[in-house]
Amino acid sequence: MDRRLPPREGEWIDRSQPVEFRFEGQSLAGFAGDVLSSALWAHDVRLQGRSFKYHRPRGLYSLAGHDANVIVEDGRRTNMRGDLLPITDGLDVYSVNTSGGLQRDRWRIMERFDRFLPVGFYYKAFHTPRWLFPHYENQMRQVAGLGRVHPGNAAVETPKDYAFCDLLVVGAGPAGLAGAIAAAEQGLKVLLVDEQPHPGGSLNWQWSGNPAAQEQFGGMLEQVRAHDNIELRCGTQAAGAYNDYWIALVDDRRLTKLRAKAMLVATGCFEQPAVFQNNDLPGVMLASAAQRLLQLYAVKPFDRAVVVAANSDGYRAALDLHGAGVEIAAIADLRHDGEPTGLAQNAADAGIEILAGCAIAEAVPSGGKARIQAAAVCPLEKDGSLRTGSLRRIECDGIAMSVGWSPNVGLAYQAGGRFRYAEHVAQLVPSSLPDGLFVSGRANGRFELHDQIADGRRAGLCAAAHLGRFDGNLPDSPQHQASPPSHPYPIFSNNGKKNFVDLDEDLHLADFKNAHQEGYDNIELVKRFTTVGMGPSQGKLSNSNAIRILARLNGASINETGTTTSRPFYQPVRISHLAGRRFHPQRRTPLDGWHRQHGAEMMHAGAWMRPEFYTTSGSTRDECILAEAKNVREHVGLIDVGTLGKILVCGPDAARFLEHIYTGRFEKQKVGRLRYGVACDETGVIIEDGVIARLAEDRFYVSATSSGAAVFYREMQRWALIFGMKVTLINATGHLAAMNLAGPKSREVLAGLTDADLSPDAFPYVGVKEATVAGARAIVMRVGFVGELGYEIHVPASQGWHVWTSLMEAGRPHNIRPFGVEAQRLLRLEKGHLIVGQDTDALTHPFEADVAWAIGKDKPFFIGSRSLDIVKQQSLDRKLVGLSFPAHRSGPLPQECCLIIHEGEIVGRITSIAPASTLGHPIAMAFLRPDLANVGAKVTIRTTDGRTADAEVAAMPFYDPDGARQK
Amino acid sequence: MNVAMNPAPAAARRSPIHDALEARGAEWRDVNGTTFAVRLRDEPAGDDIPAAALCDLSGLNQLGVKGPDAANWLSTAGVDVPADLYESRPLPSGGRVVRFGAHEFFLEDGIAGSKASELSEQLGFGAEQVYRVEHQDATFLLTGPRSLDVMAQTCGIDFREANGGRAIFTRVAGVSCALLPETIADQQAFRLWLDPSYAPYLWEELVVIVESLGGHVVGAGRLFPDLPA
Amino acid sequence: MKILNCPINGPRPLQEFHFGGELRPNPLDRKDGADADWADYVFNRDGEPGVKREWWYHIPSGTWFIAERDNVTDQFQRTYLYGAEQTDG
Repeated sequence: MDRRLPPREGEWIDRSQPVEFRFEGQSLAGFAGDVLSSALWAHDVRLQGRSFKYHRPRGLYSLAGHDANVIVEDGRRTNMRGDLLPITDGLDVYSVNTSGGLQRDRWRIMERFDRFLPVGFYYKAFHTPRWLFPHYENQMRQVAGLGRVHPGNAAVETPKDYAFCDLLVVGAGPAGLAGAIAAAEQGLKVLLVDEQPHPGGSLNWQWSGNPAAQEQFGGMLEQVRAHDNIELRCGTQAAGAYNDYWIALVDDRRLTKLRAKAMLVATGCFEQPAVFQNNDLPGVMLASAAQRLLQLYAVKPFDRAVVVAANSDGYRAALDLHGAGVEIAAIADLRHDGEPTGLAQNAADAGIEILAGCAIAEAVPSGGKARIQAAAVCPLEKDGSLRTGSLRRIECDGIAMSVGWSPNVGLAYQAGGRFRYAEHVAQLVPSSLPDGLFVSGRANGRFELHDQIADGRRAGLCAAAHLGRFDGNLPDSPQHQASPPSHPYPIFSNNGKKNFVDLDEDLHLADFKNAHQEGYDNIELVKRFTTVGMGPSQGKLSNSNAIRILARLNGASINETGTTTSRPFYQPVRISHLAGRRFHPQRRTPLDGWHRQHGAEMMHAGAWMRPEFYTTSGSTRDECILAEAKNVREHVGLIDVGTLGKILVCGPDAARFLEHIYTGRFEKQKVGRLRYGVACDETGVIIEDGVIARLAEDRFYVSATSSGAAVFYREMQRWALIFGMKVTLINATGHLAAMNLAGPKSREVLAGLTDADLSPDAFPYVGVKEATVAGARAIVMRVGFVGELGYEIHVPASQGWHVWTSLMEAGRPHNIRPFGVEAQRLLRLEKGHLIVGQDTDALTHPFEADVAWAIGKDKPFFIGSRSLDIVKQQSLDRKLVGLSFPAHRSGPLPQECCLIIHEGEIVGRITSIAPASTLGHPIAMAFLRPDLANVGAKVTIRTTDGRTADAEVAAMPFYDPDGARQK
Repeated sequence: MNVAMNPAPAAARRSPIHDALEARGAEWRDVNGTTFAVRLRDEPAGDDIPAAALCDLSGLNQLGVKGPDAANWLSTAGVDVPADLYESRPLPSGGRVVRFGAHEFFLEDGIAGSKASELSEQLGFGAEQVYRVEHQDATFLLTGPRSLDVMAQTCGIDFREANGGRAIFTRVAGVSCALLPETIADQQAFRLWLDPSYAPYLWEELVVIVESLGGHVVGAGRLFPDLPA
Repeated sequence: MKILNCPINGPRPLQEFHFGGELRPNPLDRKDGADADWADYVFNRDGEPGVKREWWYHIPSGTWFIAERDNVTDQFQRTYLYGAEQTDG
């Protein structure tokens, strides 16, 4: 059956662009500009969804994105709603939440079990017998949920951007348009957004029969379009308001992070449903939905309708429908005195029967419930209850509800606005708004069109005044004079259990009474126990009535009952929009390309990429690592240590400053010498270690750990302020390339490339020189590092490539090979060097880690010294020791963090382990209880598969204990 | 501390995104001891600046000085020292000096300039109360009518309200940068200075965005047609 | 996203900053007291609602400063460089 009407002025469909689509396997046609629900209704397809719990048939309800009756998916995308999804050629969608399709949904049987599914039933059922729970859980997972996410979907990068404006106006209806124009005229840069594809708001569908209104609308639109100061964005929701007017604007392409200086909320209201038996079936809808269907999409909503009204809007809707050929059987007016304006007469003139003081008690379904066939109307007692003895059945295929409005002001709440219930409009209105926040139009309780426009203009001028751009007289806000546009209690109980308050969650009136009976009498508790407002439409059509119900149950006022917290997002936002382009900064040394070209297996090391090892064909990873390490000990190796922190500490107080930061002494350190330093935090825990080289009386060059450098530098900056010292700090970490040339042949390799005298007397162990290497200005240091003769060379980053390749070239006759992070780790472990953060944890102090020797004697103060004085008095729980495993062994090796067990107790854990070493057997570093930590003592470690491995406590360094090789 | 003079030539310098430019078929040219990619293989023909143009200028000589005597030292050396924080002033023979802190300055030569590199030689390993801040920053230039849109996708600064000729320290695509809005060939442009270890990452992000807006990566020759041969 | 007014760089989104904890006394002034007092200084912080004086760091420019923030309303009241309490930031 074709419900499409002839072309109407202002319709949103483009009849010159027909569109073919599929719904539930059925091919249908519509027009560009149709949304799924309108195109379906045009074909009289009224069953468009199934409810969450009871799988009741559902159809079009708000046609504004305020309900979530119709949710579809297409195999790729899900969570698309029928009243927001434009139809496009090739669209092929199915309803979510069905088993076997919409018509034959097997789960519709759930409704028969409704007495076992009262509110909160899942808190009380299913926990016994316990062994059945996994079965219940599986079943529930099949039944519950809306839509499927497809893990195979490719990642999408969407552009997120920043934007700025003076005033954000949310909502391009009459108040928003007027506000934007008023503000722009005062020179403000205005961004005007509206979630619908076209501006105008209610002017598009509520005033179609009113030529004066249409002319005013046209005039305002022209002004907005022409004004340089106004940018209009349709199809854009203001998804959430965050601090300092930072608003997330979302359209179908991207998310914009807007910073406004002020915000005008002109978002209008959500029309509210009446609560009566079967008020959820297809054919029952909000009057505004019927008007939208008629005016925007030119679809005849019903053949014969009953309108239940409590305001003038209901009468206007009835007249609009009547004008389009819908037979209006009656208007049931909840008000005993009926409609006070001339609209009552207009309705009577149109032959519409008006039943004052009456309500709809029930929508009578046809077989299968996918349509309605009648409305049961009955008079209301003075107290608002139904006089069910006088029920009258009126045949109809549609019910339009116009009983009230709830302001769409979540955004205003989020921006710090507070609201109170006002009797004269029977809705919430602003009670306090922070600076820069304005609310106007229906959201502000102004319902006459001229009032909405005047209120919008007022708000625009107030915004301009707030930003110092208008100092004239501000107009007063017009007061609503007419009768309240909302009924205070449009909720009718007829002892049925299908009078729905929340359609998303299938909550009916008795559920609230039951919750209240169980003691959930506070709005926050009622929300969480019943889940009202927690479904996809987030309470747009249910919160208001829920509050009214709770207030009545408590015998309290609406203001006393309160409301729950409004949170972003206004409408669902795609996760791809939130992710955007996913900026994950990564750091690379200047030699990154060289490593990759030479077969390096790159690994993440914090924010950096580093070579783990260099692949050689035919060798396993472990073989490569061991070969690299052996080559360092036997010949010479070169490693990129460019990720190291490099900090210059300069100035007259430099040495004194370092003595405060580190545990050691530096005042008397000779120029041209370096020493190892340990830094602690105020609790005495080790946070950093590194090398401090003295380049000059007033210049120290500090190497810090790769992962800790940025934080360490930042903390140094702060300590310099606190101590008030004359010190200049410079962070050169990314600006200097660094490489370590290590091995017995390193002197030969370097000699030809530098002007520095490398003879042992001129350049001893722990010496530092500033020199030229391969033509680059360099700092050269002799550090312990991997325990061989070696030179660490730091040069400006842009010259790093040249210096590295020069060293590799010079090293060719000497068997030079590059080595990576893993080989470095192995070599250093052989020397017993700890890694801060791996061999130490958040509680490790120098005494446990055997670096107490780094604490300077008789120092009056360093960061952590006072704590260490206290800690020193306590006995040690653990200490870092070396462990040695037999060369020939079977069974698994432990990994880092495996536990050392003694007599059933945990007495330690592995911190570092090398499965193969240049010594010919596995070695490890571990924490161990001191009484068990004598050299030679046997330990047992539990491996990850539950077996055990044996080891022996060994002295560290494992390799070259006297350090002869590195000197 | 003695510093022996090195008879060998100065070590060659390389942009931190050398590999990315090489992959785009860069034509390299040495200008004043610095190597630039003057043209790239897939650049559009002609002289026009595309809707958004991204260019690497990472070879320019840079010098940082910091310390209580830094302003004095520069002034004595013939530099017009900026008085205000973040203010930029021209260097003799091209380029600019920017005040990065109360006692910190950053100098960058223009393509044909030499002041920064002369002062770097003069400073050597440091002087009294004037310390070298090692600067090997990547220098990216973004220009064209849509350059503002590229910035809008990566940076939260409202450039309409930014003071001309002032450096801005902020974040671009998550990376700390110093930004200098300027004008090149009558077009709004943005000069980005950043730690070179982040340069390959930021370059890739900017390229994706520039190209998505219909822009191009260009060589230095497009923006500086009088590049000396 | 909250705006924080850096005394050097002006108003910037909070994302550009690192929070450095509450402003605390100089440890040099506290180190000579009793062990229990030192432990209190090291481990305990003031949880009282009210105007807090806090360390904040502007990451791109490396600037430390003090911000006074009412942690009940979460409003920054003023910011200034360390040691410059006498003048407004």
